[in-house]
Amino acid sequence: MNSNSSSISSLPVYTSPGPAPGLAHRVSESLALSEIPIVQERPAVRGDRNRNRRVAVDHQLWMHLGMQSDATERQCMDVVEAAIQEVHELRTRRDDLHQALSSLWGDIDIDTERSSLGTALASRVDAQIASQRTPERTRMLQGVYDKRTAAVFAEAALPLTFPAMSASGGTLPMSHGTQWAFGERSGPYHGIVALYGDFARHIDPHCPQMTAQMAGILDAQRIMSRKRGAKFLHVGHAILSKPKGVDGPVVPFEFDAIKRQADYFFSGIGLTRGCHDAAVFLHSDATRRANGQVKNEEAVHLLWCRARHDGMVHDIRFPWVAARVAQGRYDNYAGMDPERMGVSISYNGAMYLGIETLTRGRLRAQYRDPANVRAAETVALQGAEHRDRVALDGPPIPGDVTGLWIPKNGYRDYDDVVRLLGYLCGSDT
Amino acid sequence: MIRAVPFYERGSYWEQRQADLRDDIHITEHRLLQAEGRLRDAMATLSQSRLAEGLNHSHRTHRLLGFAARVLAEPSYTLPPP
Repeated sequence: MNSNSSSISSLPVYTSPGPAPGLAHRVSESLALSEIPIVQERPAVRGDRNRNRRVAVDHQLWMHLGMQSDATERQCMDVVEAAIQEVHELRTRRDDLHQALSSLWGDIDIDTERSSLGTALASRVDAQIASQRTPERTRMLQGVYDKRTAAVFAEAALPLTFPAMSASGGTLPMSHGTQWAFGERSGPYHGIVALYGDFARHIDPHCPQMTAQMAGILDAQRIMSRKRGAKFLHVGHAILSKPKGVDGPVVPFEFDAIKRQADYFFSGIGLTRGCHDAAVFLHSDATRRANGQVKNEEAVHLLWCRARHDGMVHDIRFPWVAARVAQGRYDNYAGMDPERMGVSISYNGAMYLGIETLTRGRLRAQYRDPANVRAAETVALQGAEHRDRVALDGPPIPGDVTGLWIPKNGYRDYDDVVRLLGYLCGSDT
Repeated sequence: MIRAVPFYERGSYWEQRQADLRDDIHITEHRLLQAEGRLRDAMATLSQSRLAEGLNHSHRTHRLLGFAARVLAEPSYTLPPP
């Protein structure tokens, strides 16, 4: 009994002011001992008549203490279990996030892969790389191709919706061991073919202009700002080819219907303005020839482009898109205000250049103001004169019907798209 | 002050995705640290709830404390099936 009194007196339940009574008295106060059935006295214990009563009191006291601490303990156990569950869930979420991060496209750490190789093998690889050090290989080592491949795969997510449009760049990566019927080509060329999958079907590998065109397309992905850090443009491509079984002329791209179809097509394959910076349509040669001898159909269409202007992003749609606008250099036009340039229009065989501003609100305001329209026409006429002079001075260009240069084989004026994108998206061309 | 991040500072789509994921990981690890601290506090409260009375832990408390200690000690330890 004395051994229990110390722990009992420390409990707040039983502390009462006044002189400390005996243990039995305090317990009878708090527990209402009158309701406790008293164990029947046993005559066998003669010396201590109150023993049974004291045993009963001890029993009740222990039960009371046990029940009270049980409640507290159960509450604490619930808290601990909840905390364990929370820790477990947070750890699971963290692991999931790490998994997602490592499985992101373009997050391939080449150094890690290299370090997993043996030392001897790595040194041999280094020797090989050093023996054939090219810009392409350097870029490949820097993981540039991985990001580019990711952009290409993202745009080829869904099957085609419009039968006149063939696949955009690269529906599937070329598996190892796949033989292309192209004969022997250089290493970078094979990289291009593998990256751009279905694009290669439209390219004649024996035509050096087309191969150069592919290099230009790849260059367009690499346009970056020189002032800021290197940012990659994600340019989505699609080839507008002639539908099979159709002998008549195809719809020119200037029609609203075909432009809307192109927009649907791009959004259908997951090429959105959130993911990509520009959408480019290329005409296959069959499409351009389908209009007959008068080949005034464009070869390259820049459908839309997100351009940087004054530190803001503008979404530009091109009403009539002539990618070859930049046939003459931009800076060749004296008095051209770069703020007002950016949309180029090919219309009726005449070349308009630098008519609109990049902002839409200001675009409408500029259209409303006749003075601006007049100024733009003046600029455009200057540009046309300049281009005509270039065309007259230069060698005769085959396929030049309306005074505009129309490439005969391949998409050679994709260089102009590159230049245009480079201007619009922030590099100083 | 809220400032619109210009296009050329935002990075590409993939870089933004990576940055978002890294932010999520950072936040989750911060919360995880807080949750582990809360678990330690709860463990201390649980063990003191009996020890302060001079009583032993019940069997279930004993097991729970051991399990919680193991969860804290081994980051890869997962919950056993119920």
